[in-house]
Amino acid sequence: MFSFDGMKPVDLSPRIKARAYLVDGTIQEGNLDPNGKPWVMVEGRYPGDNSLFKLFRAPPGGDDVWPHERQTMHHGVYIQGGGGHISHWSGVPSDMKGLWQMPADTFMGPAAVCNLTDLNPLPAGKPSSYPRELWLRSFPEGRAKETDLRGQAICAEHLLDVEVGDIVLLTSPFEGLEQPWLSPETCQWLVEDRKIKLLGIGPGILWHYQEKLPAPNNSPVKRIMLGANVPIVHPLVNINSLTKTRVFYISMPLRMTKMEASFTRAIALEQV
Amino acid sequence: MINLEDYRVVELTAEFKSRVYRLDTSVEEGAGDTYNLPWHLEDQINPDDSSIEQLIGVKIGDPVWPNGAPSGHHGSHIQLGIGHNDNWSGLPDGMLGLWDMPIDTYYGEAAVCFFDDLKGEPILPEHLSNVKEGDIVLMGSPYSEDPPWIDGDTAYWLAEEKKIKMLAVGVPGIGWETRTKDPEPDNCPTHRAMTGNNIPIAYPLSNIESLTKDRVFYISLPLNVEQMEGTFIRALAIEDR
Repeated sequence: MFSFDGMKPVDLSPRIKARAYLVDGTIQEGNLDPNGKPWVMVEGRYPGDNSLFKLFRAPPGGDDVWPHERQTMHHGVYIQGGGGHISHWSGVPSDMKGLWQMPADTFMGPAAVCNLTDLNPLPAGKPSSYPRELWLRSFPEGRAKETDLRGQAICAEHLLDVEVGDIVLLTSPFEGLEQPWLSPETCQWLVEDRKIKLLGIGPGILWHYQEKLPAPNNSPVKRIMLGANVPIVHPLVNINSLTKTRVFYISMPLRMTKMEASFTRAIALEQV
Repeated sequence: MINLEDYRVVELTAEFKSRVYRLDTSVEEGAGDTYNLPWHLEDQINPDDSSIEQLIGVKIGDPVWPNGAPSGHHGSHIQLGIGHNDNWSGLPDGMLGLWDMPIDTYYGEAAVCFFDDLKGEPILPEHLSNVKEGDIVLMGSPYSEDPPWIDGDTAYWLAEEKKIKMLAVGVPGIGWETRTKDPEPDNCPTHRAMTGNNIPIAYPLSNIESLTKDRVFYISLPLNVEQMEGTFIRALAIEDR
């Protein structure tokens, strides 16, 4: 029988504490997810059996923490596919799928753990070495000096543990502009050569860039991954606590149709 | 390392058809879950990268769903006592919330209990001979009308004698709660037996009839959100090929 016996579960989803408006009029304070978003709920009472439930919304008009009534699936850890999310962008493949169209085993399986602790930032060097935004962002003149440190591009040679058909879990200890960044070339390699089935991203990885460029040159990581029907899960935590380079990973999306992204609970199981 | 090719993954969460409000103001109709609860989405553009991020629910007061948003009890979900029925009298001290339980509470070996010949009858311990101590228990039947139902004493037998770690129920097919309107503390014996013993309840599940083994691996992880008394789940069974 299938079993996780002999394997230790590691939670890769951060604990979110809901900000909850309770039926007694009190408010339970919550926290923020790694992207700085709250999780706001309003309690109600079910007349059928006098039990309690919580609605996934803020009070009418929102509140100080979340100034909207409604929230999206992009709170906490979530998984996204291309269908419904970027299918309106020009240049994306016509066979790009939504999460609800993918088989369940897309979201579980052997995973390569890539904790890029040795990918130290380097002096900025040539502007062409970096995504344009990375090069231009911040600094007094609006440009990096050659001696300023910038994250390295993550290359295939940094991902030697990735096997064909793997799920890939990425993290690093670096912050800000010193984070290693996932280049379009490496994304192509992951998709075409390694044929990975899912990408999980933790702290320390820069993968949102060129978001404002005109299509089809915008957001290359999303375009390449989601365009190849490789879902992306983020923001994961605790990848750096994994002690093995290979684990079994699972993070199922919910099973609602036409939903571009879904909350998920991500765990890794490593052999003890 | 586990090789998934050796196993068959079986979906136990029914597909939930969303009702979607599109940017062009068109509306794509959906369908309610087993209890006719809806799932609403509304497209909106994320200005950071021009992708679509959907809002969950409709505006508060909407005639279709005045509550606006769904609770954690829409579609297949899992629930435990704290924040859900800990307002009832007569429940024991020491009840926990979903978020208090170790993650391995939510997966493991499950006994499949499919009641082909129990239409409209109580489910008794004698019908659950394949349940081992510490099991997850999966229940289903072919009867959407007049289904078999979990007798209160059976619920306590499962919780306290068999010490099951989760109850996972197909709906329609199983009447898993009784006496919902009785005065406390005699109401809702299945809720009381399970949540009072920190045994999560997962429902409404589907497709249990498609399982071919009487023991399977089952998994349905709750979201990692403190104060959610019930959370949406994607429930799966994994059986040997």
